[in-house]
Amino acid sequence: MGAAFGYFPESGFNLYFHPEVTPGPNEKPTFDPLLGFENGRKERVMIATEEEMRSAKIPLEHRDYCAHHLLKYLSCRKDNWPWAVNCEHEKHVYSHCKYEDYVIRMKEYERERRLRVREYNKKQHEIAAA
Amino acid sequence: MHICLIFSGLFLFWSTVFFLFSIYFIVEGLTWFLEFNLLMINSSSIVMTLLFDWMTFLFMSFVLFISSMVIFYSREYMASDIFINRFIMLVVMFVFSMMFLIVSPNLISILLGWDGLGLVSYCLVIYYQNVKSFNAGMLTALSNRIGDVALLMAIAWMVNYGSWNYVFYLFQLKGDSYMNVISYLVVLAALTKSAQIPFSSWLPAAMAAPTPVSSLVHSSTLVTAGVYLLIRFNFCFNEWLMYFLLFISSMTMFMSGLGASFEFDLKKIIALSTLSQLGLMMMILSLGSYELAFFHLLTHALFKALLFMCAGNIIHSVGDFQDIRYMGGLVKFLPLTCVYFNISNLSLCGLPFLSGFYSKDLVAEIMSMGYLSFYIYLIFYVSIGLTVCYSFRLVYYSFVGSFNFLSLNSVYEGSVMMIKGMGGLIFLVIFMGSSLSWIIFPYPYVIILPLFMKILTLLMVILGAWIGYELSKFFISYDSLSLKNYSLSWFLSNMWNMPVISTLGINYYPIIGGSFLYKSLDQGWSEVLGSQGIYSVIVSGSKISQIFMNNSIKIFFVLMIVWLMIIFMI
Repeated sequence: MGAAFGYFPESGFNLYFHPEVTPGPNEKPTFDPLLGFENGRKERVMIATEEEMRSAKIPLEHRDYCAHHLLKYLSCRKDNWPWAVNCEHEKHVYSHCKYEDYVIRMKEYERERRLRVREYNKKQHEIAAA
Repeated sequence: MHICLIFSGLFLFWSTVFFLFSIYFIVEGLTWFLEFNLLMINSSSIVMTLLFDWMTFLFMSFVLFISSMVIFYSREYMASDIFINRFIMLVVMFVFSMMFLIVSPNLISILLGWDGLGLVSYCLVIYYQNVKSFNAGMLTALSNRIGDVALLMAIAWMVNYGSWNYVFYLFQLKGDSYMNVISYLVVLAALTKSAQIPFSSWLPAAMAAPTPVSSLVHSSTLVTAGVYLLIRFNFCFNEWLMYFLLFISSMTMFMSGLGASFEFDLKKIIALSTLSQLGLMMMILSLGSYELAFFHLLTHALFKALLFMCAGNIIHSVGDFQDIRYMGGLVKFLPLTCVYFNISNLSLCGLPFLSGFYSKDLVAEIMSMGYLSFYIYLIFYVSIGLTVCYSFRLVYYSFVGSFNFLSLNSVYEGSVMMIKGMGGLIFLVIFMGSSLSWIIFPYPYVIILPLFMKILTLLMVILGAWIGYELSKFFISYDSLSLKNYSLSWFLSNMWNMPVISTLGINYYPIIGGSFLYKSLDQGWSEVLGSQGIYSVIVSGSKISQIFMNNSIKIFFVLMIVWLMIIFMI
């Protein structure tokens, strides 16, 4: 539902109004990730190691690019327990990392959508020219 | 020492102990299984398993704390009852049944706790021995029986796995056809216990029980047992079952919110509010966030227990009247109760930064972050608005405005022990939400929403408050909206006719059929061919034999003559 409101013209309603160019929320990217990047893209680096995450018993769904912040937060919680509220800073840093992660995902979604629109327009032009 | 004080003190002590345990278990991420051999017959052993994790301890701690306050409160509320010991023992049995259910990782022991809850709740609902209570008790018990049967069937089906310790199968056997059958039955059981549609009618009817019981039963024990069962089982539910649960719970939430907005019985309004919150818990559970459902379960238990206790104090003060149209202006007479009541109500509405806010707002935001249909989104936010609507209406009717009670009255805040019992809960109602939100979520929820969606909850709260006022305001020469549309109000306040449908609606044709069968079969053919018929055949047969008996000498003579004639003729 998250995308249904917000900016109406580019919102989730377009899944119904323009399904041909609107990627579904659960769909995978269909274009080459390097399309349009002549010099390549900077690959994201996982900072937390698998050993660290395994020893901290972090569930699989939380083993992402922000896991190193999560490890710090969990460690702080344990040190300050039960006054977990003292770890506000660590929690904020982790949440901010997750926010930036979300923004990256949204940018990827937008790239996919624009590429689909571009491809669609190209096809329309070809049909019109033919 | 009075029995109330003994159990209240004991429960308070154990509540503190369990809370400390839960804090330790959360930080260490511990789960303990306690297994012991109950019985050994030849080579088969019967093993009892108990599950202890942070959820178990935290839930037990809350149940015990609320029970402690309720029992303390009961000392004054039930003071005039000559069977108060029996009452307290019933409440204690109820609490123990709940505890047994909480620590059970096994379907058989869950059934024991589950049935314990059902039976004791029946005894408590019929505690005031009158026809209304008996009917309510029967409705409660029979509705819950459906769930008991579902659990029994789940137990029978689980024999396929060789053990009833469901916790060992949930993850591995997700999607298995046998596990699907078990999960359907468990969901059915939970729907009955948590009074979801179509089993909702028993919950307002159970308000016939004494108010301390309502406070305990409808906050942290009986109705939450269903949610707790689903929290334990949710790992094995398939997608369609989740969708089904989502639909049912959304309908329940909406229906009960509407019902509460048109109801006039003080306790029934709060009961319908419980139903609405149970719908909310089920909704977020069906979206996969079982920890959030548990969080809301805990905060809801606190403010709902206090809300019922306040309602009890009001009812006690106004001479056992429950109709809110008799109340009004009570803030002048019961100021402290009014404060407690309003804080609980605002917490229920999700006002920042009370307990309810932390759980409800998080639920709303997680719901907004998810990818759902517009129907679910709409009905969820409308239901949130309805919560505020009925809460404000309730406050408008009972605490503000003019005093509508009898002229001769003695309404005053004299119940010291009841106030103290309520005072024990008020701090938790205010602070526990924030504390729990820090403690129980090691992995923070990250919410990213546009501004409009972020403040939508607040907008719905304001809109609900305004509609609540508009719906209920009345003064001379003003047409009340709800009275103007009386048939609609009647329909909505009667939970879409569900109490009628689930009682007479189901029974009408069977009763007509039964009376026909009684007349034509029991009193008809089975009498003709059975007892009466056999009787008349035997009577007529014995009359004939009597004729032979009475005329035996004549018959001998006649036979002798006949024989002689035959001999002579030959």
